[in-house]
Amino acid sequence: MKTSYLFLLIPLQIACNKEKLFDGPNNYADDFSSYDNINELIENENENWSFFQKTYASNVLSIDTNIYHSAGKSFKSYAMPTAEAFGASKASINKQFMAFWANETVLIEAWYYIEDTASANWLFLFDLEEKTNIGAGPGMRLAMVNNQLRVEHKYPNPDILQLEGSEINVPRNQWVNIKMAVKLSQEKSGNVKVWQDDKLILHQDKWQTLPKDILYVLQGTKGMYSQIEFGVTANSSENAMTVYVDDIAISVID
Amino acid sequence: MESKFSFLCFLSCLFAFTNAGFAQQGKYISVELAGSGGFGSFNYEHPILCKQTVTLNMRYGFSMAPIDKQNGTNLIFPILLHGLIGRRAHQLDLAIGQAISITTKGSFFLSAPLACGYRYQPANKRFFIRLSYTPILSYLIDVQWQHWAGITYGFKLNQKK
Repeated sequence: MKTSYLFLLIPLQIACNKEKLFDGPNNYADDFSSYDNINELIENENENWSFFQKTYASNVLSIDTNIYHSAGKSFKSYAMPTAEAFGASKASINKQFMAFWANETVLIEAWYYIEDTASANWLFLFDLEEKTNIGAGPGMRLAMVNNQLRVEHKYPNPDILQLEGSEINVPRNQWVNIKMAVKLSQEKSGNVKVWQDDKLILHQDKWQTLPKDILYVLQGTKGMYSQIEFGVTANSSENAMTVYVDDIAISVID
Repeated sequence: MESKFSFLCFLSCLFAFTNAGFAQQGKYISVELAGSGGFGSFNYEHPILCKQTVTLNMRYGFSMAPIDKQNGTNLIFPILLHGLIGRRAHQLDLAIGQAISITTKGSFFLSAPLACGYRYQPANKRFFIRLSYTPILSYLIDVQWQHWAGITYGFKLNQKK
């Protein structure tokens, strides 16, 4: 019985040095020119990319040499629409074990080419996430809803929308430059800015940009992001979508 | 946040070093809505020390929190040491403990539920009611303090004279 009292005490003393334990790179860039096939992206254990997410057999990930923004190659992802019985349809590349900490400002830049003009409703193009002991990878996502970009959160926080009356659509069948700058904070002292072809379309100050633990549903948040994901990170629209991504760059700017 | 953490350590030490004079008194089962188990919990409580104005109760709970298909359901086992202060029916109820989280997919985590509340436990009755502020402290990786509260109804299993 007495050991159970010790159990109450001991764990209180073992809080870890999280910066040391979860250290990792805070920048990465890729123009996909050095790859001949898709599997080369995840060779060399996290040196480039870490893993693929291809949740449906008919989804496709490939290196494309026909449509590219620079250097003759791009990353192509094709994802079927989500069928409820099978879970989210994903066709994406992930890089894990990175480290973006609270109070830093992270800049993510990439060129996207979204093929066809079929309606893109809840098409997710980019995720900034952290891996937790318990919970479903909380983070921030860039989504297309009614063909317009917005920022959505995988923790309780409202979406960041374009100003009413000045919304712009994402152009289709052409390359579009998307930049997102996020000042990271677990309190309401962060901010988010998104530019589409150098036009500021989303801007939110005094914002919680990092997740916190939520009772026993989400446990183990660290005040950081550790993972980036590009491509069709989820296709919840009613149409199959093909997305090309090129010239990805992510860095800490402040 | 550091002062909260120090206070927590102080409370836990205080409770641990006062565990002399064990007593076998009544045992309770209780249902807590929200509180230390998250959305709610079933609990078993028994006293380990009874003095004139202070009683220490050990509490073992069980709760669940569904997450999603990939992560399964979180099974939660809150274990708390309750300190009841007060001679009569109206008592101050302080608690500190650990909550073990294990998901059906095999993930594990620990957090520290705390409680500070009012407990109404009338003499010669077999129930108690408790209203508590029940913050949950995450401490393993990042120190986070979550505000939370709970209401408990407990029923005494046996009554020794």
